[in-house]
Amino acid sequence: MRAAHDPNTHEPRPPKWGRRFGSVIGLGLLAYLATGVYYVRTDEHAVVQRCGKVLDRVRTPDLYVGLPYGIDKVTRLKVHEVKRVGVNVDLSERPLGRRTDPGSAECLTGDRNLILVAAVVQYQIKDAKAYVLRTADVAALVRSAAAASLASVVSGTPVDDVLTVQRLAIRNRVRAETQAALDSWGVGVHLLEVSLEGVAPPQEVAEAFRDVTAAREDRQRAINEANGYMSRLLPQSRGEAQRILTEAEAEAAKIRQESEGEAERFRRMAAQLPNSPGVTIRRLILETLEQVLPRVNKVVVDSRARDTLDLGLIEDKE
Amino acid sequence: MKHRWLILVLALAALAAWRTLLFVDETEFVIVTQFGRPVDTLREAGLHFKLPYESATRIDKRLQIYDPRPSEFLTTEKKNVDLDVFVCWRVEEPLAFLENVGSAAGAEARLHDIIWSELAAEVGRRPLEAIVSVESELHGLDELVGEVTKRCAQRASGSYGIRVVDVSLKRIALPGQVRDSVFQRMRAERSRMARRYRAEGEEEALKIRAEADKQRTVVLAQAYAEAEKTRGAAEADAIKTYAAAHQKDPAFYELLRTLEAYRKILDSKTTVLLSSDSQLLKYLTEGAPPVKTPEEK
Repeated sequence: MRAAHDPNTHEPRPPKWGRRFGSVIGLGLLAYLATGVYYVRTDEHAVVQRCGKVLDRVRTPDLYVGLPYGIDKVTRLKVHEVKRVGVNVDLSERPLGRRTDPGSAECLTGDRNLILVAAVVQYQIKDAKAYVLRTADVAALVRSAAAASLASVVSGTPVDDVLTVQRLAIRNRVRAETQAALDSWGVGVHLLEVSLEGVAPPQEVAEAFRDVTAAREDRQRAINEANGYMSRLLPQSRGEAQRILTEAEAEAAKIRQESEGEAERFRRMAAQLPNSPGVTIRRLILETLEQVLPRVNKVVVDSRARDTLDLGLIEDKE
Repeated sequence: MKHRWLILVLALAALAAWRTLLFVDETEFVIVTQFGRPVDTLREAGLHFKLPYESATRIDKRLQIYDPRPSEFLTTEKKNVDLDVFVCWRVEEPLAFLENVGSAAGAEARLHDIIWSELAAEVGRRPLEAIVSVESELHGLDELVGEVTKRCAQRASGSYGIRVVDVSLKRIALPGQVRDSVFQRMRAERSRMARRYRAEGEEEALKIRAEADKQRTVVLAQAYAEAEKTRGAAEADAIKTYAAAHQKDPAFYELLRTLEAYRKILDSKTTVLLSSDSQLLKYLTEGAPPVKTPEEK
């Protein structure tokens, strides 16, 4: 101030200097006040703390005029972004294919088997204020909570269920329990999904597990083959049965027709018999003898020599 | 000179005024100390005032995670388990915390001791079934964790001013030397299961094949029965038809049938002794019969 007054007595420069000083201060003040103006982008919400105290309203996308730097603290959050954390798995190696860390993923199941379990948790900010204020590292909290409920669920489930049928149930239970824990801590996140990844038996016993799978397939194959046998055999048997029936019907028809024919033949012959019984009967007998005798061995014996016949003669002829 | 003094006084006043202002963040407690002696604890966020010569110590009141390395514990039946634990805690009594603990690192050191002793005690009172079991009535993991949390919370809250919010087990595993025997058992179990599956497959296949064979036999037997009935009915009809016809002249039928039987019975192996005075050969022995001329008639 004194420096501004002293040169005033000599020349008209000083007021200019003073004005410049004033304008610099004014500009600085303006610039400082301008730090209170901020805007929130489309995908963001912002939590504002004034003198450290959080303001009730969370800022949605818009332009705002607040108090300048040092008084207002604006924390911007991407509230729609889906965040991910890996439990027992490192998500950073993603392009190379995730590897579960065998050291930390090994877990004891309810039937005291060791199994590798890893999960990926997806979550979103539910309550921006709680998200900002409740804890420093939300991701670590989500990861730890999910790991704890995963360990708890797996420790009560047999290994085969973990590997197969219970996977969906485990996912849902882990999601519900983790959400409950996070809610009880009030960290303001909403779990979207928990997906089990890399659930597998440890390297040391993987072969034995594969053999069980193979055995299960063998069982199915044996059953399928037997069913195949059955489905081939039954139609074949029905076909055979049908053939037997048809043959029987054919035979029945034959028997009936033949009997009809033979009966009719007899009836007609018998009808002619009364006209000349003696001759007809004699003719029939002679015809029969004519047919029969040519093929039989015949020995004619004189009726008077009948008693002296040596039957050995006949047998010698054979 | 007067101005110089004025500036000094103004600057000092501004400094003093600045030092009376105290912003308390939502995430912290502030303890106001007067030359090291605590005079006030500010829990409410926002603007506060203090005397210029008082100073402020800020203490994080947010939830903290303490995640120590996993460690081995013994159950009541002296079985080893590896437990990986994590603790959620926060400062509840800032003054007690400041006086007895000081920092987060100090808090973790103290929590470490508390949690280890409590966890070792609780695990040591329980069998392994309480930690891992497929039967829900034996499985007391939640109860174990709840008990540990409660006891840790009790011990940490008093002098340390720490609120233990949650103690959880992140991982339950087995230490190295036990793993090998577990793997051996797992392999044995697996091979038993594999054998069982294969045997079941065989069993099921045999049952199905036997059932198929049975059905085949039944179907064929039914067909045979049906066929025999059909034949029987036809035979019965034939008997009726023959009987109706033969009834007309049984003697003639007998003759015809006998002659037919001769044709079938007498084959090339038959030897017939014909008496020379038989009807057939009578012309050989007796000569021609007297032929009656039509005139003699």
